[in-house]
Amino acid sequence: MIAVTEKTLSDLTRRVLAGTGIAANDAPAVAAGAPSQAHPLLLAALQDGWRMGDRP
Amino acid sequence: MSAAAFDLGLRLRAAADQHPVARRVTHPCAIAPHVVAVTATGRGAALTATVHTAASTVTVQGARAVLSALATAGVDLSTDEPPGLLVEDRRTLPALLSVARTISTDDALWPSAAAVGWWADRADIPGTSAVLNVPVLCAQAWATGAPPAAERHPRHWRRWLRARDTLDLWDRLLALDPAPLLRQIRADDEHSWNSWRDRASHDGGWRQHEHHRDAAVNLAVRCAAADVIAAATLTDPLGRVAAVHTGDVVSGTVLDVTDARLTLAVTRIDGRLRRDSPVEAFIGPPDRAVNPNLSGRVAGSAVAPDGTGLLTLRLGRASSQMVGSTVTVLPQRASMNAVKQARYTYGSLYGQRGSWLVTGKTPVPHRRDVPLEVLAAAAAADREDKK
Repeated sequence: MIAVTEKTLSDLTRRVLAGTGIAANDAPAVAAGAPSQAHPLLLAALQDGWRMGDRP
Repeated sequence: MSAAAFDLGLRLRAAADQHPVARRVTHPCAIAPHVVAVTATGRGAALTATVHTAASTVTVQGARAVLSALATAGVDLSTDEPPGLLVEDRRTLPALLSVARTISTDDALWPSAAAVGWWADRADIPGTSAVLNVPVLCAQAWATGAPPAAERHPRHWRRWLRARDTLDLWDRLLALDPAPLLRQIRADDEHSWNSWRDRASHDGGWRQHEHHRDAAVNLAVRCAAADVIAAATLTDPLGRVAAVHTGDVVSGTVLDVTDARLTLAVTRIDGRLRRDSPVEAFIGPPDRAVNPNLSGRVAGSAVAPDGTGLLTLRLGRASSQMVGSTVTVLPQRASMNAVKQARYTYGSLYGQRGSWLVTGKTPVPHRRDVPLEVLAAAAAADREDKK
């Protein structure tokens, strides 16, 4: 599971979500640390964005 | 929505690592070898500006003092290389322009005022090296662990990139790899600079209204430059990864190749590649650092009963050996001469004796989508004019 579930990031998640316009019905599942309940495309994008930190 | 989620993933990773995450590996704009960083507040006689170059930093007040400081920093019409203006906000350039417009042609500061006029003229060309908004460019190059609004502030970028000032931030951007497609935008900046110098030197006319033929050609150039910027982003390996989530880039596994028709099982069904649209492709995942070496058109798309997306392409060099490989498909890139072609093709058409611009005859409609950033820049300029 990606680190978006970490509690330390939840505040940032909420603030960033507010700025990026992610639909309200998907956002709570991610922000609350239950990304498995989010839409698969949203989760895939979230994971891919997270993994960009591993790329040069 | 998933593009926003991808963006969120970048920001969360940056926050977790307390380190910026790269959005691209290549320059986000054309590069000016000689730049001057200016921060200005106020207008007219109340104008205060800090002019910063590699050699010096001065803060001055008043219209003449500001233009004089720019002249000392090498901003005038005498240089063959057009100077680049580094700004941290959207207020500085209108403030400089407000004082440049007050300088008469017989004034010793006229060459510097005319150079400011050139900056204002080029500012809305996508990817230009004339006016470089450093926080915007940094946000195109990196993601930080903060909401997007925070990235509009230069202090935010100084903290995240451990930079001292705007010139230091510019050095960080210069350290990225060159983007070959963007050289044509720099070449057009140079062409425009030389035309501007002639115009300003011979008839002092840079403050006059733009001729409608020039306005039409410049609109075509803006559109071509926007296409080049979009293509440069998709040429960048990291830019391609992001573009998967906007649907501009599609990746999948080759299922079948028959008569140069290649069928891909794609990972996502929300791609934007439409039937008959020209495309380029290469073997490998989107972040593979290669240039596309296959080209063709989209033949069709479908969704299999099990929900798998299928994309069929007509590719000239498709072979059965590609079955099982990962292939990445993206829209056909803008030409390496797209901007030059726009300038000369439209310049020639509009300059003809029988041109509709000259004769006033109703033209045959020829339409294209105007890129959003061109519209936004025009709206901003319009708003500025009404102030």
